[in-house]
Amino acid sequence: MKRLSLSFLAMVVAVGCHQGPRPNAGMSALRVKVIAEPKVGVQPPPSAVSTHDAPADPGYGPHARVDYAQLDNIVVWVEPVTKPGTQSTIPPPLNKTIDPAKSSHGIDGLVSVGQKLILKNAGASPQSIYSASDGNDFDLPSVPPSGTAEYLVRSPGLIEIFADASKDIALQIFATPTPWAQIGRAGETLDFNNIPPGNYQIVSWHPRLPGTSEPVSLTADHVTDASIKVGVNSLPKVTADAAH
Amino acid sequence: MKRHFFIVTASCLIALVSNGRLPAEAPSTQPANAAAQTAWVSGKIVAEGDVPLSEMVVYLEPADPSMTVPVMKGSVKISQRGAKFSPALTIVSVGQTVEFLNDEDRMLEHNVFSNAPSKKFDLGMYPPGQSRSVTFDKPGPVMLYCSIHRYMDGVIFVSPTPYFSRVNPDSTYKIEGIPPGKWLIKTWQRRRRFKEATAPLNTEPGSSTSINLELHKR
Repeated sequence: MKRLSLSFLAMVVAVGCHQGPRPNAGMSALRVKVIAEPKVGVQPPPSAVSTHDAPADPGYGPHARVDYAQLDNIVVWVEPVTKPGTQSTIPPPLNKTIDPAKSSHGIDGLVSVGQKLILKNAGASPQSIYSASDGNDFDLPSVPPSGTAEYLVRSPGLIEIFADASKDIALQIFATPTPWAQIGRAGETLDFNNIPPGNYQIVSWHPRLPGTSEPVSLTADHVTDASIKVGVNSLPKVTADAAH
Repeated sequence: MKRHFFIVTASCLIALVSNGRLPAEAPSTQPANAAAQTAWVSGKIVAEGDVPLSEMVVYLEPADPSMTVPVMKGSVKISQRGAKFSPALTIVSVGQTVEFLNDEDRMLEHNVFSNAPSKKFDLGMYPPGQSRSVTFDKPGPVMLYCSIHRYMDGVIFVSPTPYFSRVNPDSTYKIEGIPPGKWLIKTWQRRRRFKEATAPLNTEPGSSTSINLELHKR
């Protein structure tokens, strides 16, 4: 009897927690299943390892395989088909800390174009915090220890950020063209809520694997289900006979 | 402090090559008897803040885009042995072919691909002893990965001309066998920490030029 009650309670909690996006009146929502697709014909590895770990992790040799079931760092965003169309609200500033003694091993955050990035210097000495990334090059000079500096994101794409004392990239921020963006992993379902109805593209990006895009039409007061892939299968094939 | 886009301070010391000898490692596109008619440029890369540089290339681009440049002969091989691209950085010029050899010593397949804007391809899977070839027809970096092995990555830098040099560990470079003309000398960093540098270069038959390229944060 006690076990039955607990099962019932667990079921109620599970149902109660399963809350998909609920758009405001007149708006729409989108649920996107993220799929990392291995090369067609490749068998899954016998013992999977995540790509989340840094390359220097002990115990993994050069033959460690990509685990598509656990692939992370997948960025997904939704953008209007007609660029000047839908206006979206710029999110509040994104706060990030830079420790010059540490290197980045993945995507550390998402921003959208027009959003402010506030960078805090966690080092013990003043640092210039800067980037030479295309469309988002900046130099924030002499940020004191525990001090902050701001950058207004200008272009979509990967922003690789350094501090003077960094040996390698200190922070990797991905900038999306709209604020309807999330970072997830394979198998995850990402919810995008309160998007104005219209025609959109769902776009995926991964630091290593090719992303894809899928058209989607969103209607008012409705939650649309969709999926998006990353993987190599969409790339042009090179064969032994046709060399290039 | 706002800096001009072209942030290069190029110190140009032009001196004639007195003996007119063939440069030690003239590119294969240069016939030996034409070497005296060519020029060379050398110098050092100086980075703001004395930061250690990542792998870098210095290359020439014609100042006049309509100028034709020769295509380097021969293909370049990239090994995949031990699930590593070797060399990890390969430099070719536009029009050149790269042969991707599966030279593993055991039955191990790779799936080499690139998603670079200038060249997207998927070589598929093929066993040891076989190779696939790709001709690179646009300049720019082409990142290489294997869709199976998570740590397998490399890069091909496709130079717009056959006139390029990999930057040495002591930050020096030298490009030889350059025909007379007006050029732009440019940098490319595998891991872009600084704005790429550009400077003008005019070459005359038998001339040598020294250009130090300064890299700045922006």
